[in-house]
Amino acid sequence: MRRWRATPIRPGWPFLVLAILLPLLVQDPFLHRLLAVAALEAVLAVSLNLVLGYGGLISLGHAGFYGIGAYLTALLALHLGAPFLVTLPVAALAAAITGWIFARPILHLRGHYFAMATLALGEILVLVAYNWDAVTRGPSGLPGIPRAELFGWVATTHRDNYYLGLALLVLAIVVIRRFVDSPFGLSLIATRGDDQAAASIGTDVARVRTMAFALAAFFAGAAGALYAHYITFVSVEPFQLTHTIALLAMVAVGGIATIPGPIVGAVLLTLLPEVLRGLADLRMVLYGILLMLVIWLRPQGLLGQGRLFAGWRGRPPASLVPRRVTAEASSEERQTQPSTREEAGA
Amino acid sequence: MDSVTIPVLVDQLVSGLAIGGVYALVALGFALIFGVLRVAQFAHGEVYMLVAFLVLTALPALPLGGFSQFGLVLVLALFLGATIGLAVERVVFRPLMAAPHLAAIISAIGLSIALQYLAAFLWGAELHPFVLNWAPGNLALGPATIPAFKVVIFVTALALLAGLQLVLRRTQLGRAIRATASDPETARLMGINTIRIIAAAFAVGSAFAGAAGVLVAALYGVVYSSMGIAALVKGYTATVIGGVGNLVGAVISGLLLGVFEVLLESYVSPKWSDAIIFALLIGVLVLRPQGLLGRAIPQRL
Repeated sequence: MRRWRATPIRPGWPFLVLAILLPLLVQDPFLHRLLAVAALEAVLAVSLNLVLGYGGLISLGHAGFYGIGAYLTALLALHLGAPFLVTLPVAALAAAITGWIFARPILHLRGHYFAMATLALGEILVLVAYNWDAVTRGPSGLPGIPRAELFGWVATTHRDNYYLGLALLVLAIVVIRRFVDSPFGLSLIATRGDDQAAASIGTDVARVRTMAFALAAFFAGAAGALYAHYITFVSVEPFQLTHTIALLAMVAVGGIATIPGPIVGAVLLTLLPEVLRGLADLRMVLYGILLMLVIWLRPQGLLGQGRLFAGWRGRPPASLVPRRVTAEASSEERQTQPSTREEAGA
Repeated sequence: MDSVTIPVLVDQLVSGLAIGGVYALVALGFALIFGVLRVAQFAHGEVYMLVAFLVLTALPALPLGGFSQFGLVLVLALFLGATIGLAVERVVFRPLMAAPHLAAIISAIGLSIALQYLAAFLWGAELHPFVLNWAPGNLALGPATIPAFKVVIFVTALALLAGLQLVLRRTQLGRAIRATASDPETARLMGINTIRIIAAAFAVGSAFAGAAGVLVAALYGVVYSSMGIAALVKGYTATVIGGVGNLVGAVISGLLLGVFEVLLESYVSPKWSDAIIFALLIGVLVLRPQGLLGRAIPQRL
């Protein structure tokens, strides 16, 4: 009997080979730079997707974990002279631990309450980085972070850093895929559908959600370490809410709760502003419009699964409208029902 | 840090209530739209920004003096907000009625980015002064003198909020909106055209965002293209603290948020006030997962 898998297996090897060969075939530093950025964005999107797609929890603080990794790397490298092989795991673990500690008390929150709590965490992290001048040098940021070094090899060019990012991306894909296919992952998916039903069959909802949140933070922290060594400078801009929102868009455009979706979304949305560069000031206007257009045409994302019903041809079939509302509101309805009964009894 | 004296404290409370009134308007619009559609309108802040810019552009054409200009500006803001809201609903949200929840959020984010950069393109990304021909002077309130304009803003916000409550409680439209918010399916079965009700909620909610936009522009005297983000975060915060879907809660927590912010800025630290507010927010959510003023959730994990 074939084992049931949460993620359909698609051969990723051809794409990996292409990803490795592309910068060797095209000797363009500008493209290499874009690829290096896209690889880091992809790590962030893939890890956010674990919480957002498989866990069904809207996290608005993901860039904050990226920031923890980047700032910690900068501080360790600048003050203690810590090498890349130390900063990378320390940054990842610190982000994971922060995620773990933070996730525990807020996991019982639903929908927008959870989103708000994560938004608040992300904002606090940014505000600390911005205002704690003594350590983070506030708005001026921390310059002069050494390049990543691995056994004598120093990642100096954009291409070197792209390969580091790609390696982290492959690791993130393998680990997250295994996690999603493991009993933990299946429990996580079950809690997304209905957390109380999942709890009633013995799923430790808080535990699997905490694990997913911490694992996502782990990879965001690791990506932050790569970022700090790559750019050699950190300041608060890349860790703000706007970046988390861009990550949400990547996951949604590529296809939520799929493994390749967030990667495709990350690459597309990283390249898009560059493609539109000719439009100068109207570039981001078109970016926003294209974002709407993609969602309009494929609400489940480019690689997303699920029925494709084009709601844009006017009024959706009446039978379909409440489905989304019910799915979204089901937990709220359950919450309100008992209180309605109380009111009726009173 | 200011020392705590009564006149200063009164002044700060009034400032807090004025900005809190603006937050309450934003939060109420956001909560109203969320209530009927169950989707977070993440471009709500851009409606607020866009109306402020449009009114700024229209100001030279309104060479009235004094209060009549303020009144006209407010009416214009409400009208523009409602128009933009209807367009946003029709173009962005209605096509995604049957789509996954996240799709509507991302679409709203796309709209928010597009509008923000469009405003920067049309008017420039710098700060634009926004000055009305009306300076109501100061009011003496016991030992304190307070700028009357802040009181006007607070009173205007309260009047709009009270007006909405009246509509929601006393009219057929209000009843239909409340019915749709509490159970869209049953509301439809009862013969309510829920699609039209959602559009109405968008019009009203966005009109409030527009009013909040010009009030805040007049309060601080500036308009800029990225002003919507802060408003959205504050409005979203107030909505969640108040308990999602709880309109009165959104108003009260918007006012509280404004007062709290001003007091923290003056007496604790202007740098850290936002961080403290967010930390308190997390505390509130941990202790009261349904929001400070929300209904108790009977089941928990």
